[in-house]
Amino acid sequence: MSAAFLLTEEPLETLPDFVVPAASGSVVAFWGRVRSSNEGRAVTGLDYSAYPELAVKEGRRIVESAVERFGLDGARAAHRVGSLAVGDAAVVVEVASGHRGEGFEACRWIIDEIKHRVPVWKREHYAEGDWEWVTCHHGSTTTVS
Amino acid sequence: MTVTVRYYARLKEEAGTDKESVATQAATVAELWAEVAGHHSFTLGADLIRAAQDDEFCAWEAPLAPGAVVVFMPPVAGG
Repeated sequence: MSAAFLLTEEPLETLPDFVVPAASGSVVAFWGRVRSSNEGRAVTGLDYSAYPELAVKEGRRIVESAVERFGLDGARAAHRVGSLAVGDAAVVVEVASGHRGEGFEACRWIIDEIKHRVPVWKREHYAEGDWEWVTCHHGSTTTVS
Repeated sequence: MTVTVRYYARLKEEAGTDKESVATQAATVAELWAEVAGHHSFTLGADLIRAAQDDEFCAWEAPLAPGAVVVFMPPVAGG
């Protein structure tokens, strides 16, 4: 059983393969990508920053809890930091389990917990040249400049 | 006593620095927040902020020790 959480400045597509045990009949993956628009505004990119020491600890706690809670064979999540363009992957969650039911459920649970608990922040850049800090779990943004 | 305070994201922008040394009489993390929030005129209230000490989340009532490293975090927005 493996449980890992990584923060990386490299594209998430370059991560080593997620190792799936032979007993797992299901692999569920979620890729979160930078959207071209948010709340009606054209987005050109996002800057992600993190408090790395605590982000990695909290992220690992989430993935470990998911493995235990949903009886998974293994799970991994990774989050990008740095400047991302539209279409870049910002986060990936991969879950291996005996069957698909617990896999889908666990994948959803992990990404929701990451969004609420892991100390990562994003600044959204718009086509007009301005930017805003995004506070996604409140579903709102606050203008800074 | 002197403690180190670190800021991230919006707090870092508003403080104009990611780290500072603060001479304080504060006995708790909450009292330290009140001091730095007043000094930097932070726009976010304490109800939106989380604090950490020694790279672990901590309570507002957590006592401060000389040399402590305290981190204040605005609402997170990963994913």
